[in-house]
Amino acid sequence: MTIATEFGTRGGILAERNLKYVLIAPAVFIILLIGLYPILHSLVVSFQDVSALFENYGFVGFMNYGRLFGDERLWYAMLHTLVITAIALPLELVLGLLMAQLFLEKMPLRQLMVALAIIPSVLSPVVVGASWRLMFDDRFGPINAAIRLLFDESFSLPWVISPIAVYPALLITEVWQWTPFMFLMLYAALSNVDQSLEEAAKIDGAGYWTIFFRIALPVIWPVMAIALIIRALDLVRIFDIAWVLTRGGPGTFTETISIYLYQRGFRQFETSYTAAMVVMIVIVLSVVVVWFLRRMEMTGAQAR
Amino acid sequence: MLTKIGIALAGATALALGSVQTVAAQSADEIAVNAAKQFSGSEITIFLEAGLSELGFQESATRKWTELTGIEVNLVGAPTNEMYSKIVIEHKGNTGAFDVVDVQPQWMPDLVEMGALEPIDSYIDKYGYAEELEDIAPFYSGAWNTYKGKTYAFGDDGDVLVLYFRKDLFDDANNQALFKEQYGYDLNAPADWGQFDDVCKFYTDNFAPQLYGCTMVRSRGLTLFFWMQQFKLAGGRFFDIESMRSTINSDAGVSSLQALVDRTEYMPPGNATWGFVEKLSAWLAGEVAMTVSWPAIGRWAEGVGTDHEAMTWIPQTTIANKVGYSVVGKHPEIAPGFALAVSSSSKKKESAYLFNQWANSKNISLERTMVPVSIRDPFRISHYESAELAAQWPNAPAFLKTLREGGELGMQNLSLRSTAAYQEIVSNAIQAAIGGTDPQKALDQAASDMNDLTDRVGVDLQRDAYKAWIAGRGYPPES
Repeated sequence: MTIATEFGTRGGILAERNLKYVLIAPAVFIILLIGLYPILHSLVVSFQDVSALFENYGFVGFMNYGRLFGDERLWYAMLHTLVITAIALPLELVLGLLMAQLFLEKMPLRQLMVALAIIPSVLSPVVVGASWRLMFDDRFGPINAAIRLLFDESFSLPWVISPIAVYPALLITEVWQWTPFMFLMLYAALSNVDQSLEEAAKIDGAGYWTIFFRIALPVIWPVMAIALIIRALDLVRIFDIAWVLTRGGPGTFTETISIYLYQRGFRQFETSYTAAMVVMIVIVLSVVVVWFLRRMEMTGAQAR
Repeated sequence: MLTKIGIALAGATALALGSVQTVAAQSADEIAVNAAKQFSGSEITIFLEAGLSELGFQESATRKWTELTGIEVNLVGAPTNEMYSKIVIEHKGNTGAFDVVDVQPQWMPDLVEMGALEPIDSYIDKYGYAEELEDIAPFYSGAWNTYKGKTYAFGDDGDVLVLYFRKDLFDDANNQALFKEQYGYDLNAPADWGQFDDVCKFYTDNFAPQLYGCTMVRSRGLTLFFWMQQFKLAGGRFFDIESMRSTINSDAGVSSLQALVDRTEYMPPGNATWGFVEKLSAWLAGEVAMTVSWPAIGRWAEGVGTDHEAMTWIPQTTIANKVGYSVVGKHPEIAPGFALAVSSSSKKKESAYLFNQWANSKNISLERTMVPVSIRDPFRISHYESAELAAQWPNAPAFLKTLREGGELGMQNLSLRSTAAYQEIVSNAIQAAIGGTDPQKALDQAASDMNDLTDRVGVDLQRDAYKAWIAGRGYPPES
């Protein structure tokens, strides 16, 4: 092989190796621009003092971050968000799993039933919130009307302003809308479980739960984990349903992180302080998601 | 030669005098139309409240403006509680998207200080509008139009909260006797909130579920206007003037908030979550004996304008010719109201101003208050004295008299720097109390939040704004 040929061959291999990066570079650049730029901009603004009243674009140090720790309303908003996530996520998982198992059974018009079952998830959250607000209306809503009819005709409960009932109302609405999403993901995953393995296990005397935990779950775990991450992030960001149903009320009783950020950022125009909150939340969520993904990889590696 | 010059000068003077006389003879709306024709073929954008306001502008103003001047008008609407945000965002972005902005006067300090509104004194002089401005009822022209000596807007909507009561139920001899027996004084339109609560309780205790004593909005964002009036009439003050620490959690605050919560018990079931529409429905259906609300309720109770296709959502009235008008507590709250302003980022300021002058003028504004979907309420002296408005229904003269007196005696809605933020804090406290939180606790939190906000705004800055608001009759004058 001549030197020229060797260099030509090496150059060709290098060019081929780099080609894939060159081809995806524009797309990656745009995604980074769209995804990273707002976060970087927020980071910069969080070190300024910009609001509706003041426009100080100079560096003001950690003033806004210092404020975070004394902001009781922020921490309550985080607590409200965590409570909603901690209750809604397992509920959606369990109900979605049950629905998926149900639809795995042979039944007439199964495909149509599946299509109908996922309708809530394709509706606009604002529409869902508004509809359920009407459902929960004390005087004219069907829920209280049904309770009055069946149990106590003097029953009265203002769901969306009663501290006792407002969280159940929020959770019912949220779970009603997003359980079908979980169902769809798990239904697809369960459909890929090898039936012969399950049958063999049955023949060997394994019970239902043993089959599920030892055979089905390891197979569907990667999909389930992704579905859980997606739904968890959605719940942390919950805004539409909560806003339409309760506006964060009564008072600030159901004020979530997103609602509080919206109030501070777009109603009171405390741009820099809101940016500091955003940066803090991004850091916390990133740590949690990275930890979860690593756990998922480790679990998957062990399974292999 | 000199004679020729003299003749020419005399002729020119005569021509000029003739023109002045012609201009002087023209009404403000005619002047605006004639001046606006130079912009024919162009377009302006009006930002306003979504819903009926938008439709009302279309039917009562913008179509006609286009016909008269050839200027196309775009309407951009937003829900009431998002209007302030959108105006600020547009201003910060300097997009020039809005030419006319229909603002709530309570936002004036913030919008002017951030430079979002254009001063219009030069246009008023240029187009001779000063005289017609005098016709706007004083309360809707002072702080609503001017800020720190400059004019920024034209008060355009007489939003005074008055009492509507069922005369037939109050005049009923049996009701009169029963009320006297139970409460020890004559049954009349309540003069204060204590009497209001007595009357409300009376009807509910004796006639529910067929009839309840009263209904009022309880939804977030609107309820605070009603509570603020009660708070101020009870001697409440938002701040200590020296320290600018909030005193909203005083005895007056707690007692008025507790009264608001207690009153809900005597309202129809579910009233705790009611907004404007639910309250209106109950009132028009004859389910309640009284309500406190905006002037549109007065017209709709008489069936005026409700046959318009856009008004089919309003229930048919069952109480026409049965409604009386009054004010609870002598000094009603005037809130929120609207005023027509010019956006400082507009590229068509003069055109925008001319539309505002035309729409706000004596002639056109009278027409606009009579268009069913307009929901613009009388705000000019000439409106209150209008034979056409007085002829709309038999008791309309009494209605106009109440609106006029309400305006003259009314108290201005809270207007400071960061008004929207303070109102959010107060709304949170009210909603928390309605939901069951102890009013003292709710108001203590509100006071704390208000103090934080005042510190961020700047105590001295806010004190100046507060003093200006008090001078503009923020509190009852005798207090």
